[in-house]
Amino acid sequence: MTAESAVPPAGAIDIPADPAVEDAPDPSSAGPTPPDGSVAPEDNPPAGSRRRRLILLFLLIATLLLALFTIWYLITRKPITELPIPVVPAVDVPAYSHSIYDVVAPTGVAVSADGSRIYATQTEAERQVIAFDASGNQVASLKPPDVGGDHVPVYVALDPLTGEIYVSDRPAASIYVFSPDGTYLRDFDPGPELAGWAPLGVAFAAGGDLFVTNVGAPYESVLQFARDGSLVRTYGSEGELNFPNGVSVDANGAVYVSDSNNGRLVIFDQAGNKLGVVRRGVSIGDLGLPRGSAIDDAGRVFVADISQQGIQAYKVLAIGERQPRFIGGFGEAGTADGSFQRPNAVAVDARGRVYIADWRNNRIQVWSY
Amino acid sequence: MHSTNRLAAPSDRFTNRLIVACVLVLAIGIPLIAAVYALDRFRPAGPSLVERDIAVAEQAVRENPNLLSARLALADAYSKAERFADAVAQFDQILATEPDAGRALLGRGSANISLDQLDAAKADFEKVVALAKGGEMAKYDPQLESAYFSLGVIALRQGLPQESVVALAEAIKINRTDADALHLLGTALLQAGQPERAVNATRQAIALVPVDWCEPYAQLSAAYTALGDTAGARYGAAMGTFCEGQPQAAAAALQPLVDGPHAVDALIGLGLIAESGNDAAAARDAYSRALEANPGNFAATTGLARVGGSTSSAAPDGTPGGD
Repeated sequence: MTAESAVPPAGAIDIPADPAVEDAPDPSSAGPTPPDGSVAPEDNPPAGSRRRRLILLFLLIATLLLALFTIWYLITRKPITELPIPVVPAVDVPAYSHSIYDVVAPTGVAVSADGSRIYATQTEAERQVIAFDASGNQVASLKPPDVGGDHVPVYVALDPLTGEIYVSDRPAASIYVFSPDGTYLRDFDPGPELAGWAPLGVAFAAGGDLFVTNVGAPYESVLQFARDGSLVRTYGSEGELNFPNGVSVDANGAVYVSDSNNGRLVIFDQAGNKLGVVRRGVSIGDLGLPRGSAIDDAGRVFVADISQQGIQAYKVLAIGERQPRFIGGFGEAGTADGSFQRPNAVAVDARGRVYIADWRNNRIQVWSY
Repeated sequence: MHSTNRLAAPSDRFTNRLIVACVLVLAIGIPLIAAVYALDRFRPAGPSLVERDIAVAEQAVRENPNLLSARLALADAYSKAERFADAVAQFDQILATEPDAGRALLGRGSANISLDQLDAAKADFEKVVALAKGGEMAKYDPQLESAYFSLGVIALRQGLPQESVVALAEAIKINRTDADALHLLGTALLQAGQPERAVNATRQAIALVPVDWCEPYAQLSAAYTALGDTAGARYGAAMGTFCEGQPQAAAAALQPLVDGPHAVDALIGLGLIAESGNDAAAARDAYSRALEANPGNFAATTGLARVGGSTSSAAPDGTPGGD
């Protein structure tokens, strides 16, 4: 470089930026450049650089959010609507997803927490429990040993600790226990005091206690059994419940029982005291002829109402509450997708899906949040 | 100095690379996670129950084309799927072989109503009536009732209310608790200029289905208006308001009527409104007052039965109740 060439021509001289006009937009310029072509100082970034950094910040936040959502979804596999946002919709019901066919007159349904196994009681044709995978393919059939006499599998529940499958059979006065692979293991023994019992609804608390609605001797009630099979408590006094059907237990230990022929959902606390009631009636949220029930991990109670041909949904009781808040109902009478003919039982998985035994439509309907 | 504009500082180059990387991550990641989510959440619903029924019935007909019961099942399946033209074609096949098949005549008639082929439908229903009305079980024959009802519907759609009244009255003779027929009879009577009889028929329909059915209340209001019964018209309008989801406005409209000629109706309406608000005590009070005024009133008795013993079931302190 010669001395002459080192002298820049007039008009091409870099002029230091005037602080007063520093923020003026100049998209074509990267800022004042020294005569030797070096880069402008970092502590005085030009507008273009600042804009790039803002774009980068936005993109980094978006990438981070995407990563967080991906991790959250892969762990929980829940619908987006289950994201922990502090907005509680007034109506909180799922949408119809699909149905599982190839079962005749199912009255009970249970599902594994991850939704990979669905168990349905088949009360007509060959009476048994049919296990399906998540796609609705039959993977097993569960039958107790043939001991003669009438038997009908009605309700089914999964032991949350062992994965064993409990199937109630009211005519046979039995609860059959199957291993997770469908092998018959034993009959549940309620003890000699309950020799005349007639088990109907079955459910497990999170801790593994078994709850059974009994429509036989000594009187119609809900029975709680410990892990060792001993009777812990009886819910409902003599004459209080009339053909109790489905039963479910919330995270606080409150027991929700469909007092079917009284048209009510009765809620007991862990000590057996009655906390609240959802009644039979004509108003929104009232019940007609409630049967099976289930409670999901979001604290929603689903009750199959066979006379209203749909599912009623409530929030579980918070401490101090006596009336479960009605959050919506879904379903109507019919044979179309999303319509029911005598929905009799409900089950939920941990991924925002609700499974309904659509008894007279010979299918298990799957609804999803 | 243009070269200085093209050159970026090292930090800017780094920023640019990060931007490109982020864009790439987002461009690939968002569709990927969206695809995973969609595959996981949204399972294909598959064929509906009706479509499955059609597939099964079609297969049965293919296997045995001369089996009329299979064709009947297929025609019914087509009707359920609202493929009425296909249903009519199947019914035609059946009736070509068995011209007096009652179910096929009824099915084809109903499908033709849906296709707006009213004259063809009428001919089928009239044939059912001709075949069944002299039968041993004519007084209890559901096919005959269905035919009369459909003839009533057709007559109304053809603007022949008096003819509709005759047909619907025959249907109600067979099934006195057919709320749809009673409501439709009220419609026909109103159109035929007989509002007093229209009131009676509509009230019977309402007695059978008192809630979640708005049309009868609107019809009742119109019939009372035609009779010049202002209070009755107000009662019908108020119950229509309740039916449309405005219980407070309905209660306000009913309250002035509890001392008038429609007191029992108004009290029953107030009872239903109280029930809808989960106010069992108010509902019980309203139904009790209605029963005092009209002992044995069906709506009040059944309403009281719904709420009668339940107010004591949930003790306010949450202790075990006594019901």
